[in-house]
Amino acid sequence: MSMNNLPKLLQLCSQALPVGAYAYSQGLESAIHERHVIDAASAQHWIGGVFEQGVSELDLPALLIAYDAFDRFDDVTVQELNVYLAASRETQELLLEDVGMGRALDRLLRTLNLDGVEIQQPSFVIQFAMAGRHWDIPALDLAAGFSFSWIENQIAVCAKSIPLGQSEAQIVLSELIEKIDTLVTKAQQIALSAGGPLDWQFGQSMPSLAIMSSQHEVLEARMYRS
Amino acid sequence: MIPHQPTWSARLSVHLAQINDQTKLTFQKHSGPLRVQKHFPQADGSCHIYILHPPGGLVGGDSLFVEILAAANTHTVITSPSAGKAYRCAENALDQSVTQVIDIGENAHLEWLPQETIFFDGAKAKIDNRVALHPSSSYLGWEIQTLGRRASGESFSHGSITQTSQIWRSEKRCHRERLQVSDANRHSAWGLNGASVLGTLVAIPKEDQQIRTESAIQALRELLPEPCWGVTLRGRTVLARYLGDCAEDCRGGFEQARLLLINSAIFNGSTDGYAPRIWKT
Repeated sequence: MSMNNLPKLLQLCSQALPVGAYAYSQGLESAIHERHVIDAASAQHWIGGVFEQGVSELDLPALLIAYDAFDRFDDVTVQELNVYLAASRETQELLLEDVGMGRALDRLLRTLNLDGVEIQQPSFVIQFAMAGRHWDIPALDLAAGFSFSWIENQIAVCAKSIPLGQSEAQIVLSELIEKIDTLVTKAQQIALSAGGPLDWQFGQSMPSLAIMSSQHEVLEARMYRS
Repeated sequence: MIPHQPTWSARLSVHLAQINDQTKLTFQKHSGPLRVQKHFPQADGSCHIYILHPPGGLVGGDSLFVEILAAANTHTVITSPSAGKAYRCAENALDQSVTQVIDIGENAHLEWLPQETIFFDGAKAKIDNRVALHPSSSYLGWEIQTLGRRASGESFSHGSITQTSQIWRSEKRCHRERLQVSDANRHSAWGLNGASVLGTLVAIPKEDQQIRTESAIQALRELLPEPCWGVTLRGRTVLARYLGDCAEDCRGGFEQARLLLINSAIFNGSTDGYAPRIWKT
């Protein structure tokens, strides 16, 4: 990657990016509530597992397919993919998270004079792909950056809620980012063999997380919106 | 030499139409061991259909294909007279494959309420469900999967299950999910969490029923308690999920949830919610 687009990737993946990621835990708050996650080791196990069986099965392949579609100005595929992502979110709160962050990123990009795609309920994944493509960030680097942001945000939830100390959190982060290279490669294979919109079958399979997220929607003492 | 195991490929195609305020089975064609066992026109105008797979279970290499075309204004309830089974497959056997395609016409309502499917240890099942809805049609469907024959103490320790479900409304996907049962997710807290029974109920109300659906969701949450159940309303799609160890509890919860949703008048057709008679036997 050239020095021109590395800073752009860092900007897009920074925790300071005002898309409200800090407000969402993606089921992790429930997992902490249910005591599946109680310390650094169980946090690493949970985040690593959801990254492997969730994010790298759905979000990352979708990001790569969207990137490729933006590259070819294939608006139909982009729209289909946005619908596919919405239909794939397990619960209302997980859908609202994706769309809430998608809208925030859309507004931000417009402030930066980058016109987004005209989508009613834009997925964050789609907007992220669009920004990355516009700034000429190579697809796999973009997917690695997306993964890093996601992992870092999950660890921030643990740091606040378990809690984890700062050094402990960095140790967990170091372990988890080791997975990124392999799982981005796996996601690339899924994206390459996904076929056209009618053939798409890729996606996550996390029934227990889906139930925990449904229960989280009515959890009284919750800090996070998912 | 591996003993020869005969495999069967079976197809069933069923058409329904609305004739004088009554839904009727107007066409059926089958090849291989798969057919409509019975069809009953009901007093509320709906038609109940029992689909039977006479061998009772699938061996490796078997494939079933079911196609249901429900025309405008029809009201159909489809169930099966007994649990489905996917037997253990030999190491080198082909998959057990099931494809179900349902098309629901204008202002029609269809319910797909099969009895549970029992996956024997070592099964290699691939199930693909596709439902296409018109903007004005409504749908209620459930699937219950039992992993291993629990009565005889068998767990599902090897084999694989891949079940994909997709629902299109006006040619756009409004729901899709993929259940993958593998070593990686059987025991993980985010995957199956060690459970042996899974259930998913999906309901798509008719148009402009959002407020009624929202209040039905409140009642549904009270009906289906934690920790085994999760209920959500994602956009217009109602989802109720079960993860536990009791197929009867799952089935009982789904039956009550069905009645509650039908009584909420969010679907086309009658709000009587007659239960198929075979369930009571």
